[in-house]
Amino acid sequence: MNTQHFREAKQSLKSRISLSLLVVLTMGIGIALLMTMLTTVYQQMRVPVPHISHDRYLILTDARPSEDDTSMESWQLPSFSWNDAQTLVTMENPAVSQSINFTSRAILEVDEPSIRPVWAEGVATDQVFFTLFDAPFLFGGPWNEEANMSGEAVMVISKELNDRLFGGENSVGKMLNAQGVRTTIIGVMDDWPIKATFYDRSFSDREMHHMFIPLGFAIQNNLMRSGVMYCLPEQRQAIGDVRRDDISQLMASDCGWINVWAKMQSEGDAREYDAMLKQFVEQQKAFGRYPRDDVRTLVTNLNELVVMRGADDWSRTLLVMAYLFFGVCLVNTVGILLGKFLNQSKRVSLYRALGASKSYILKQYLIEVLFLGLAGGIAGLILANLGLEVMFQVEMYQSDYDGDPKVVRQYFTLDFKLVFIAVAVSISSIVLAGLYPIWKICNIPPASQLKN
Amino acid sequence: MELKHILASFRRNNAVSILIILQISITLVMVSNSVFITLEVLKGWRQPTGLNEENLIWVYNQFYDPNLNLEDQIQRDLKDINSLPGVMSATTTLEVPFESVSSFRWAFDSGKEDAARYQISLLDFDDHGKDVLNVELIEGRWYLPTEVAYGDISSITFPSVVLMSETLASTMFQNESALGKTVYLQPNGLEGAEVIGIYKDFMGGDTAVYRDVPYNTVIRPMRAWGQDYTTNYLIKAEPGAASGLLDHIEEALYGTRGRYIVFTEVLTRTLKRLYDGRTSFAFTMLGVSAICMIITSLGIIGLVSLSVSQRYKQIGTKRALGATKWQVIQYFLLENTVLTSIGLMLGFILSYGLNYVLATQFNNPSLIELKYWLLIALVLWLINLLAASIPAKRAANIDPAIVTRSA
Repeated sequence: MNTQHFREAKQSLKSRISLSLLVVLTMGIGIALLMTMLTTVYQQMRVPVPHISHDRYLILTDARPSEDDTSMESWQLPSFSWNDAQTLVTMENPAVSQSINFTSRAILEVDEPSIRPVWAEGVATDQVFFTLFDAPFLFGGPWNEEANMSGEAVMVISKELNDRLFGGENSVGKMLNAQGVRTTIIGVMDDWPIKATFYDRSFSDREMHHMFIPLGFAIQNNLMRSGVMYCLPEQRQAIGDVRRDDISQLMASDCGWINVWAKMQSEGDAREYDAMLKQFVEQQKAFGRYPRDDVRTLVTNLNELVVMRGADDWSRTLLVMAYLFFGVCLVNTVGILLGKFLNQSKRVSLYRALGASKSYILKQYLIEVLFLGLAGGIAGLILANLGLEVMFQVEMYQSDYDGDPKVVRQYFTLDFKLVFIAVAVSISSIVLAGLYPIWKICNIPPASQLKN
Repeated sequence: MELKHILASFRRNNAVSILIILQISITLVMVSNSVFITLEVLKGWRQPTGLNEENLIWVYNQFYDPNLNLEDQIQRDLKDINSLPGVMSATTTLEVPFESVSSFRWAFDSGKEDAARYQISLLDFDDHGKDVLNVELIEGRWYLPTEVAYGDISSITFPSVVLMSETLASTMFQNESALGKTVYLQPNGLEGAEVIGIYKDFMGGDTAVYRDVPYNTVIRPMRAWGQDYTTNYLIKAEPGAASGLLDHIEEALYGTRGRYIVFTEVLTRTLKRLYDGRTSFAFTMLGVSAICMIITSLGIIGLVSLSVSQRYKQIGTKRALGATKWQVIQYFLLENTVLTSIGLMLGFILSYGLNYVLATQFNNPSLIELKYWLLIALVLWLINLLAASIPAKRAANIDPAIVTRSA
């Protein structure tokens, strides 16, 4: 290729500028929509704590009765009952460390009367939680092991909550009322880039958790449980409202509500854990528990878990639509390119008659097409930002402005990888679209169009 | 005769033909699936509420300070609310129209184990409930102030009378009158209550709406409170006053420490939230489909223009041999119709395929209704015809004299 090719390509681009613009616009709109939908799916599939996700494992088994025939993927299975979770954590097993949690919420109030109370969602957990999921601290730190079950009234709060209640100052040692109980703040977490609350399995992506409390504290004060719970109807009758009523009955029951995580050093350890889990299930069967014929167990790391969950159905449906839409745009582009190139039949046949080789013509048009692809990709990215803004607004509107805009916006943001994908898709697909038109124009017989 | 020509010309002009067919079929696949999903998603959208929700406000309220005397506090709250100018009446409740607050509420037709159960919205109103809601009584009577039960939720004696909606009455008791019958309510009432009145339907909480029983409601005369229990307020405002009252209500209630107000809102907003999840998705789909149709029709204009310009001479010859302008237009429109039909047929098969994938893989409703499909196909066909007519008209204006030029 030499400068001559570029000059010719430039000439050709200019020759029917409106058609060139039409190609850029069509490709741009197609790419924009594709990237908009791709971004939402891609961002949902981003693994939290990616630097350690490979060896953090979620543990699940299927304790449901045989009558329950709702189909559940392994990752959707109910969490453990309190007693089972306790057994798993205390029995000898290949895990380096284990942590359990359940979702809880409480109304928090500081002594300063001008600051209105906050209804904070968070988790009740053990001190291992913070190291297991690499939670960064701004001030203070987690509680010690004794405090897990002692009922000591201590709390770790999020940076955002600290900003709201204490104006961002170091609040370690300060007191607040949690559901009326005097509680000491012992740690303030720093911004934790996890995007979704994966650890309580809710993968909630509207707002992050603002309070982290010891299990014993939540239990002794019967703080509300707000996570997903699986209880049999007869258990429900006995316990009453599993979220608010007496927690000791819930702890004694077979309701599934405790999430169990483990850190394991290798795949082998994970398999060993799984074998141990199966053995545990077998033992429990003797007591009439785990009644299903084939009790599923799941020991899966965070990476696999994210893949199993996938993106939400609506986003994926929109992505399929975006692919189809892109198909329409591509077919359109083929048509426009064909029209544009065949318009130059006369000139090309003259060139050929004057001795230009096919490859000369080919290169010239290839450059033109590549340029159009690049321009289409750039136009697409500009429009994709617009599309993502629209989708973000729709999402906020749809949730009635309930979510934290900062958290939600992360799901509607392009990153370098996506920008690269956009340009690569644009260029490669326009080359595909240009194949036939280029082939057609290259095969114009020399001088055929010059009879007039 | 024409058709034969058209088929022959496809062979010569195959690229353009294939492109048109492809474009039509993909567009049909997209548009039809979007429309099908939208139709299903929007089912039950905007059903009549039976209420003047623009005049109703509700306060989502939480008490958490164990030292508060809740019974007194609630009375004080109601007094504070009622003293605000613009407030007409107020009642306590847990559930409100369009918002269930707490799920799982059932009515049983007997106290036995095999009782049939019905998902309901359960509204616990005090003696002002009737004024606030303002629904019309069909049969029986309203409860008396003396029949309202008061008490801490852990020790309250549940009321012995309830009212229910006409829809629930006819579902539970079919042809018999529900008046005088005993129903059992869950949670917390295994003792029965007598049905003393039947009122006109209004829409209940979101759980009931999502389970397709929006009008299954029960009104129970009771005001309960308790630690960690939610006692909400439902307020009727003078017409036009509702939105201006919200801040004043919150301010008045926050005069007491030891409580938290999750929100105070006009029921129109609650209703909006009830529907938005599904409508946003549906309208995004439709929006994308609409843009797709525009792109497709632009594409059709381009492709037909191309095929016109490729056949300049041919058209001129036709005109010279006596074809009228109208015949030329007709020719192109017929050609386009044939291509569109092929595209639509291909698209029909593909849209079935996609519908299957979307339904099985992404849990979308699997719904293909032939009549809608035919309607969509017809619309697409008309749009294409319109698009094709633009270049066809240009073709008709080709000068017959073009034949006289050489080559």
